[in-house]
Amino acid sequence: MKYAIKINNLTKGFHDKTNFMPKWLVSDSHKNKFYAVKDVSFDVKKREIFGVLGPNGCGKSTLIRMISTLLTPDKGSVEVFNIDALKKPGEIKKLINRVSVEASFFKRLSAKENLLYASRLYGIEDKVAIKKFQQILKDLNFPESMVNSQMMKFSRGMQQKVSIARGFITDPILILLDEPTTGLDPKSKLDVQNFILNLHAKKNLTIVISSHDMLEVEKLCDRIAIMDKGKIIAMGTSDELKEMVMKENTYELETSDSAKSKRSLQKFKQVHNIITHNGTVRFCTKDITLVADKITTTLKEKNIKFKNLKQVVPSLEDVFLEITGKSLEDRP
Amino acid sequence: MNKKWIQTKAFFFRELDMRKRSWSWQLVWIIYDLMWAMSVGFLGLGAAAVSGVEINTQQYVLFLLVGSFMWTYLSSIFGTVSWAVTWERWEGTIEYTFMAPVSRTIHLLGNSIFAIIYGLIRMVIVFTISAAVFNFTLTGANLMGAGIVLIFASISFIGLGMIAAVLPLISPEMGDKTTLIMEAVIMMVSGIFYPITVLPVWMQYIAKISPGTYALEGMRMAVIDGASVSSLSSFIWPLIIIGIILIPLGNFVFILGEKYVKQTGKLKRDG
Repeated sequence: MKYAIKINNLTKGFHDKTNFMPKWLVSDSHKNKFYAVKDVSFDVKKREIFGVLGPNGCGKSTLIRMISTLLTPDKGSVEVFNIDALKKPGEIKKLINRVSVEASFFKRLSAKENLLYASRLYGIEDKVAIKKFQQILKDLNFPESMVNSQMMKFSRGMQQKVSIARGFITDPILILLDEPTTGLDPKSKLDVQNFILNLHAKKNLTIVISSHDMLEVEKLCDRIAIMDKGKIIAMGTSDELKEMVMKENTYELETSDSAKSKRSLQKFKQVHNIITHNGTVRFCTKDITLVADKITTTLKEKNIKFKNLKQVVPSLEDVFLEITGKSLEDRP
Repeated sequence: MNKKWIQTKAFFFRELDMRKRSWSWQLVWIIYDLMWAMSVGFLGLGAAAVSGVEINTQQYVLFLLVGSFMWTYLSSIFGTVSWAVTWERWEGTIEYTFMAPVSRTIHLLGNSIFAIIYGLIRMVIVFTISAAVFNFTLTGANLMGAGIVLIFASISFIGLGMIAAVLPLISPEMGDKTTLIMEAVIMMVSGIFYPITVLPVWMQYIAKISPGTYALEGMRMAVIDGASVSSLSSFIWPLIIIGIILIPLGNFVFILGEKYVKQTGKLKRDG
């Protein structure tokens, strides 16, 4: 058995909640069905770290919910370690766990009480569970003294660390991480990322991570699927995906006015995929002389201060922009 | 330790931990139950003065108090079982519970064991204090008969609670409210403070299918009249039959509800 997950033509749609008419009164052609995931197919190899990259609302969480048996697909199939998720969800539940973006807990209970509840659900004895979660929390740099404190007193980062402990305490062989670091401070984010990589190195573990953080996906994942509007629009290793935009050169410059710089660059027909981020402007062009001469001249003429104009390796953001015509951050 | 037992323990201790963490609220509920039972007792004491008719006051007070104690217990069971899902909805933990390899039977069994123990504790506290205030004893009562009625009434109310628990599962917005209405209707038709013969005829038909009716009448006969187990059988058998129907029905309805929410995506926190 080579694959941990096999997904074939997976589709899930939801009816428009704003339509208050009873379903029997509405003809089929007028039933507003929004497809969160449409005809998605891919495989995840055993021990692979597989990333699903896409903007908010692109269908990542719906996809993860279907793999974790929390949502029934309208069409298609999900197989986890050769077990059909629709026919034998109970068998799959023993092998997997999930960490979601919302660290949902019984907020009045302590971290320990929540973790014991979660481990008992999987039939794990308390003394075994305590040993396990103490080690996981230590690896995540979670202060040991806080384990008996109520969850409602924790910061978002601390809650998410307990959530990650809950996911790993059951020793899953497939873990589904649905935006595990969203909203975390940089230190907590690093703690979580390092924990995931260390654990993956030590254990027979397959990981699926959904995220809209391209740097995180690039850092952690062996292969990446880029998702937009419920569909997978590209898939491959980070290098394979970047090769898709390698036909042009990517440049970056630091500027005092990124909006004005962007507007100036948009006037050049040979310039594509302009992204602004934190005082930097990124763009692609085939024409190297254009960069050297015309662009620098134009920016100077318009009194836009800039520095460090340099050629850079394209990022996954450039790939996303190339394929969809929009930036990850432009999305809802 | 047996895996299924550990899983059952998960639900029992979750409920227990939540009560411990909100102990002040538990105190509030017990005081409320007590004040309610005592107010009902005083209502009985004042009945003769209000109506101007001489009645057996002690008998009437006991009639009311037994109804009150039983309802404290039965509504606690119903509430604990049905509100467990509402609570999980509020906290957003239901996806994690449903993702675990645990059967719904174990899920509901763990909740039910806690519900029975918690309900009994509440009832015993209310009973002990009320007995001291209204100066009554259980010397003439058939406690074994009362216990049998209590056991089978508990099973029926767990079944009702399981059916009610599906409401907040399939409708996060309306489910908990509907559960309260369901509890209120059972209370009204089951004759907590009056014999069901005073109800309009159409309500009496509903009363006949409510386990509360048999639980209350059986308990009154055992406690007030000291009726033997064999003479309580006309209340115990309906409770057994209703329990046999409601428990698997509750489990079945809950599993159907789970399928529905997985199909429609309503398991998600924001519904």
